Amino acid sequence: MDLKNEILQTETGKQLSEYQLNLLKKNGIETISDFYEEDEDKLKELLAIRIETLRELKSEMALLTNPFNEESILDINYGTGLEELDKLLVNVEQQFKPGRVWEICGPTGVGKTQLMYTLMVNFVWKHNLQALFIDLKRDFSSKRIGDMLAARETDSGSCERVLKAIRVAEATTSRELIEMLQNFYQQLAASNKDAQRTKLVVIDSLPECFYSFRGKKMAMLRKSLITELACSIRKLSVHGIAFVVGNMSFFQKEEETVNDDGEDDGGRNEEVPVKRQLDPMLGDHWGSVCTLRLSVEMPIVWYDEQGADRTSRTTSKDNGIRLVNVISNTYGPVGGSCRLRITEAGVV
Amino acid sequence: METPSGSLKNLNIFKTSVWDLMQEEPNKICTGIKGVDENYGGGISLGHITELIGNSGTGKTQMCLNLCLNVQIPKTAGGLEGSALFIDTRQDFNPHRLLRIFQIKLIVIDSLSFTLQMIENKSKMFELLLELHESMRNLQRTYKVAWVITNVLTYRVSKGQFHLVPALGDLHSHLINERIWFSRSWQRYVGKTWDTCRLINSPK
Repeated sequence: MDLKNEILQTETGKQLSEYQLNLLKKNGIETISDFYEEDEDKLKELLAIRIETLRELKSEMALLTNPFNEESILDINYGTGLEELDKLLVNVEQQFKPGRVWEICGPTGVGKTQLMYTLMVNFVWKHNLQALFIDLKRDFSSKRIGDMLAARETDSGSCERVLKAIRVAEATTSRELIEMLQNFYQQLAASNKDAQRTKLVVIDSLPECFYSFRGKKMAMLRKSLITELACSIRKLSVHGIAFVVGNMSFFQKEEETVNDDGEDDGGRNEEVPVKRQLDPMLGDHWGSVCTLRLSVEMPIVWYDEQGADRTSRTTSKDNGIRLVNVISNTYGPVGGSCRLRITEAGVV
Repeated sequence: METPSGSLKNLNIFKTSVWDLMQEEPNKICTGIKGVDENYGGGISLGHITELIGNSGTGKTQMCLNLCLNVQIPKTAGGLEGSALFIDTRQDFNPHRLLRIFQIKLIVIDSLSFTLQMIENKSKMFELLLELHESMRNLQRTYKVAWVITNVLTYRVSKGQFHLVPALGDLHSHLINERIWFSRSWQRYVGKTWDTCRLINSPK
C-alpha cells in the first residue's frame, strides 16, 4: 500500500501537510517498511514533529491494518535494539519481524531472562505497541524492569508508558498456557483493543510447565501438549504476533557426578551425547516450531588454576560477556554468533 | 490468589501491566542483610523459592532463623505479620519456639540437600526432588508463601577436572527462583551459578 495513503488514514497523519508527506518521498522513504526502518530522529527532524507524535503515528499505522488479512505488516522490521544482535540477524537473514517465533535457550543463570526482558523493553519503547509476558515460574520481577529503565535514565513519562505497555499474565500449567493463547486469539477475533495492540508475546522458561511429565508413560501426553501449544502459537504467529520463548539447555551427560549429585534429564534428551554440547530441552519436535533458535552461552574460560575451594575467591570473574549462537534458523544459514554484554540497563 | 487454574475463560489476560505490579503492596521478607535487601527490593519475595547455598558454617541457618523472625514483624511496622514453618531435616531445631502457627507466610527447609542426599538410589532421589518441586509450586498457587531452602556445594568431575557446583543438579537450579551464595568470609552473592553471580554484600 502507498505510504502516503496509509499515513493519511490515521488521526495523527491527517494533521500532516502535503508538503511534509512529499518530503518523505523526496528522501527516498516511499514504502511502509522504509518508514519503519528509518531512523526516528531523522524522521522527526524531517517532518518537524515531536518524537511522541511520530510514535503515535507509527502505532496508529500498525493498528490500521486489520490483523486478519494482513500481508504488508509482515515486512516491518522491529529491530532488537541491540546493535550486535541486529548485525548477526542480518547475516543469518532473519530479522525481528512480526510472526517470528524465536527461542532463546541456554543454561541456568546465563542471562536468558535478562535478554528477553531487554527485547521486550526495547520493543515497547520503540514501537509504542504492547507486549505480553507470560510468567510460568511466578518469577516475573517488575523491579528488574524498573531497574533497567532507571539505569537508562529515562524520563518518568516514557518510563510509565513502557511499564503500562508490558502486560503480565501468569500461567502455571501447560494447559493454562494453551488456554491463555486461545483466549488471546478469541480476543483478537473480537477486536479487543489490547489484543490488537499486543504484537509480541514473551514466554519465559517453557520447560517449566512440562517437567512434571516424566518417564515413558507421560511422554506421549507431553508430546501432545507440546503439539497443541505449537498449534496455538502458530495460529497467532500467522496474524503477525511475534513470540520469544525461553528454553533451557543442559550439557550432555558426558560429565560424571561424584558423590551425590545424581541428576538426569528425566529421559528427555535421547540424542547421542556429543562432547560438551549444550542441548535445549523439549525435544526435536519443539525445535521445528521455532523459526530461530538462539543459544546464549558463557564464553569459554580457560581455567588456569582450578582452586579447590572456589567460594574462597573474593571477586566474581563474570564480566557480563555472553556468546549468542544461532543453532537453527528456518530462513537462512545457521552458525553465526555474536557477543553481547549484560549490564544494569539490560543487554547491549 | 489471582489465577485459580481452570477458570481462565473470562479472564482478561491483558489486565495486569508491569505498572500495576509496581503499585502493589510490598510482599517481601526482610533478610537483615543490607545488600541482599537492596538487591531484591526489600527482601525475599513471597511466591518465590529462594535457595541459600554455601558450605556449612557460612551462616545459612542463621539467616533462616532471621527470616523466621522477620516475617512476624507487625503490619504497623511495615512487616507481613505472618508466621513461619521451619522444617528441620537434621533435628537440631526446637520447634516449640514457633508456637503460633497460623497465617504461615514462610516455609523453610533446612537443609534440603541433606535429606535428599541420604537416598542411595539416584533416580529415585531425582524423582523425589521433582515431586517436591511440584508440591512446592502447588502450595504456592493456593497460598502466597515464600519458600526458603538450603543447599550445599558438591564436586563434579568434568574433563578430568573437579568443579565445585551446587548439589541437586541443573534442573533444580532452574526450578528455583533465586539463589543466594554464602561464603566463609561472610560475603553474599546473588545469582544462579557461581560464574555469573554478583557480590552484593561484604563485611567492612
